Amino acid sequence: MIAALDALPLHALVPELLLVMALFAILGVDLLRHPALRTAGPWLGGVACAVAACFALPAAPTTVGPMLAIDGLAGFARLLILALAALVLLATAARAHRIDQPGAFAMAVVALALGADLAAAASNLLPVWLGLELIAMASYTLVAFGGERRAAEAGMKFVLFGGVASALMLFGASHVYGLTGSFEFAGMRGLLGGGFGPAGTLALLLAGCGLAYKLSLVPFHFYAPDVYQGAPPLGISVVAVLPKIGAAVALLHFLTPAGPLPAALPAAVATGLAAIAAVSALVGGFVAVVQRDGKRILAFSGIGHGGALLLAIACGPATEARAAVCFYLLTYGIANVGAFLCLDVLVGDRGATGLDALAGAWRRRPVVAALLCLFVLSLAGIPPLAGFLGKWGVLQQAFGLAMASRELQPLGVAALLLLLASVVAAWSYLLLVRALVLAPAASEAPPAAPLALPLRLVLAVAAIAVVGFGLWLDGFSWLGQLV
Amino acid sequence: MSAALASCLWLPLLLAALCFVLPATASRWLALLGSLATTLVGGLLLADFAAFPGADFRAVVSAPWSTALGASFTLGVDGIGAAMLALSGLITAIATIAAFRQERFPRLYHALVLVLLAAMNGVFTSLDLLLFYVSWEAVLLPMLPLIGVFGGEQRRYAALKFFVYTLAGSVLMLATLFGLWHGTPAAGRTVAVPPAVLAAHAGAAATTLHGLPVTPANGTTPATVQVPRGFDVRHLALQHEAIATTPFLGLSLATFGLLAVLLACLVKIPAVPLHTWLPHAHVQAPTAVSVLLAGVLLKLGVYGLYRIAIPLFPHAVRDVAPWLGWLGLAGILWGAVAALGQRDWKRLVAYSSVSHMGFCLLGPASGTVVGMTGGMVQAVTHGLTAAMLFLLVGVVYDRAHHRDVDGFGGLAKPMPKFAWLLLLASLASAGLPGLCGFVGEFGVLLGGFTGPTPFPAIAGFATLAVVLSAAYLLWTQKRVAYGPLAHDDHGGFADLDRRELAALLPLAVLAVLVGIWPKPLADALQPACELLVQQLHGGRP
Repeated sequence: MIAALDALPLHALVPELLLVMALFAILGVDLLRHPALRTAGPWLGGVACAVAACFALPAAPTTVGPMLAIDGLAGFARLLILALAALVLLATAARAHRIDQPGAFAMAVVALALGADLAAAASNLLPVWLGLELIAMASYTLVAFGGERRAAEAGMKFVLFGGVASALMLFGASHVYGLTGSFEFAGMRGLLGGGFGPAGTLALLLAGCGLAYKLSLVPFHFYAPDVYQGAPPLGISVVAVLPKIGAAVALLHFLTPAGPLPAALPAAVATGLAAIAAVSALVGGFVAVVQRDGKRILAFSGIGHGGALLLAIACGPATEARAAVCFYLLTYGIANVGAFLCLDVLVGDRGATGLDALAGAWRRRPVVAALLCLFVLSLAGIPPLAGFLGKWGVLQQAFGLAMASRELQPLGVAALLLLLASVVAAWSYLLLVRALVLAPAASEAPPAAPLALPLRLVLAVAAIAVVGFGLWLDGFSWLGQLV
Repeated sequence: MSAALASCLWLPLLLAALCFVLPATASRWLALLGSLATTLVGGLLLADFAAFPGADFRAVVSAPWSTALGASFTLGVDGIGAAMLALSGLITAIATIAAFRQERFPRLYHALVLVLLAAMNGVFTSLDLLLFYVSWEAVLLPMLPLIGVFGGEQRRYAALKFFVYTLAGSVLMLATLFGLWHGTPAAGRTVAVPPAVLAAHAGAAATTLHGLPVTPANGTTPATVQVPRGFDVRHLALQHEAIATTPFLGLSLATFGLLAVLLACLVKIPAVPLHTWLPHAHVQAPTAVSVLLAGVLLKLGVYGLYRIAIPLFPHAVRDVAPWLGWLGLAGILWGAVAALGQRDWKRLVAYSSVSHMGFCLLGPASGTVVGMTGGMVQAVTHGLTAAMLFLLVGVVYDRAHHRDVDGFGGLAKPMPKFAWLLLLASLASAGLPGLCGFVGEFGVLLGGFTGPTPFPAIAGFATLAVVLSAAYLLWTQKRVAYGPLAHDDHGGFADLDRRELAALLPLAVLAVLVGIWPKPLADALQPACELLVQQLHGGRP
């Protein structure tokens, strides 16, 4: 066994090991129950994630047994996951006075990051499922944190829904094993070609349920609005983003064969993914316009963005498509995290995120309201912000493939529907902006307490990133070389 | 001069940032400085085109932006662009003078106007389609708070409607960008250059065209040029034959592209029936923002037709030209009839804008040189007259705090200068010969009468609009300015003060000047319009 441990390429697993050590360290510190150490948990977690992020990119592609394959794509995913987790943990340290048990909160965030890491680095269906389960456990905790009635209700819905999706995924995994005799992606790819008939397609669809749930795609999107609305915004900031990164990269790994990359996926696979993507984008756009709560609007935005992500993944395993997926994850992640952190500040003042409650926020906290508008406009895809460039990457790939081959024309149609949905979604984002900036305050509010420095730093970093990545036009080629 | 052209983009942005650093009273001077700088550059370029007419682009600036996206930072103007740039700067300066005493959040207000100026300049000067699209969308960002924060009672609804309406119109243009990119092979393609195009842009025996080497004509084979893949509008215009035959999602790329660009432009112009955002936005916006909207923003749509739609998709434009003509006529008549029935003065002027911009659509649709030139002249002169009218409405609103046309009467007594300028603006807008409005309208109508069927019929009906516009404008003049004083407290109104005169007089002088001596403007615009007409009719019989 010692020899087997010796053979493990631990240098590639440094981030995961650091996260595990951080988990235990936070637990230990939390058990001391010293009042001065109240924020120690989030700080420890934040520092650990930041340090782990420095080791996220592997020097060379490494495989860890038949389970994990840490290549450039997994390395980028880990970097993004850990960076975002570090930002949120720093913000948690600043907002610890509003959280019951910051140490437990930090543990949940670190566990979430660990699970997403695992799913992103997987080359085998089992670590994907394991990672998604770890994400799920941590997510349930974060959603129901605080024990308020709405949060507990949201957590319950999340658990029930997530449990079903998880069970379906395991069911599909068993079929996959039965048909191909292997859980490894390399062995499973035969199912894509259709050689196993309807049974193979069913197995793949069932196994994909867990991923669709984490990406909040139709028809696994129903949990998102209620869960996002009831949960505290600080927790949702990671729950909305990190699982999407893990699931998207896991799916991309599965679809990427070894050896020379083909120009596109098989037409049937691409069309199916594009269809789900288009429907998700349309649902996310059209149902969002009737929402009257800030967090619900962001939930439907998440559904729409999940659709756009899936369209990028459907554009196939080519390097440009992988770069587009990574860039989209980057821009969506930072904007979403920033938006929810701003909402957390605004919720803290009033206790609710309905549009009437947010009205006139710019009078109480002008900078936070302006930053929230910035993040929301980036999510809407308005140039010259990062979200526009992310969307550009997806559309570039989709239209390119549609024009290159007749069979892949559905990708182009899906891209057009995505454009249509984004315009409709823009109306819902603007409702949020209108409430924040244009609407008069419902009543005179007491002057707001100034924000702690770590939170200000985090928001500044997020804002600079959202503007800076929007101007980073060479990002696609840079990412293409990385992944 | 190309450096000066680039400064039209970065200087307003820099000044906008400075607005938040310097004291609040400095921001209006910064805005004035930025807009006057643009006016100077635009005016010099326009004078250059007037003195030395030519169809080629001048003051071209080209810097690589992103090789990955194929975008470059390419700016340049021809006669049309120079006229629009000058108009953009002048109207922004006028609007800044009108808002000189802005008390609520002056820093934010003037910074937003400067950002808007930079975006408008970006649209008018960019020769790169991606930069054009980004600038087109970027115009919406400052307009949202300008209407939504500083506007009237229903400002929030108007701002949102304006934003989403325009966004929806331009979203297909983004899809067209990708189609154009992927429609060109990665290594570029070799296209034949028509001798007329070569002569107009570079000279008959030139060896380079738009920075590309030209293989000269050799007996039977025409001159060819190797065009790289990219978003440069001049290069894409050379490839219009290939664009027309490239398939895109079941249609030809030219058809899809034209529909997309047309949708975006028709929303902006605004063409009936896509005009419903305009009355709201104009009425709810503050005076200076209405001036900007009517004076410049509506012209973005016309410019898009001239710069993008006709050069890139000429045959498709020719195919839909009759429809465009009928749409223009519908706008002309609908706007005029609607204006007749308005009681809110600002709404009346807004509908008159819809009516006059219909001429800008009819002109290029007719496919004649005089029509094409007339349409662009109308765009420039409408900018001047609409700005004047909105300013005058604002003058009265500042004093009376309402805009009901029937609630005034006899204002010429306490405010004679105002009444005189209102008469001048009304006659100029109605198209009295000798004032600026006549030049554009006459050009468009002449183009219609000399164009192919059904344009003579369309122009015939459009001539009715001249009567209608005289009707609603002069009737308003009568109701507001002439007759006995309707309300005694109106007798105490102060006449135009120095600031209001400073805003109105330049426009009044230009309205008369362009009316009696339109030659410089027409000389500057004509060569580019001639080239566009040649592109429309060239090639396919």
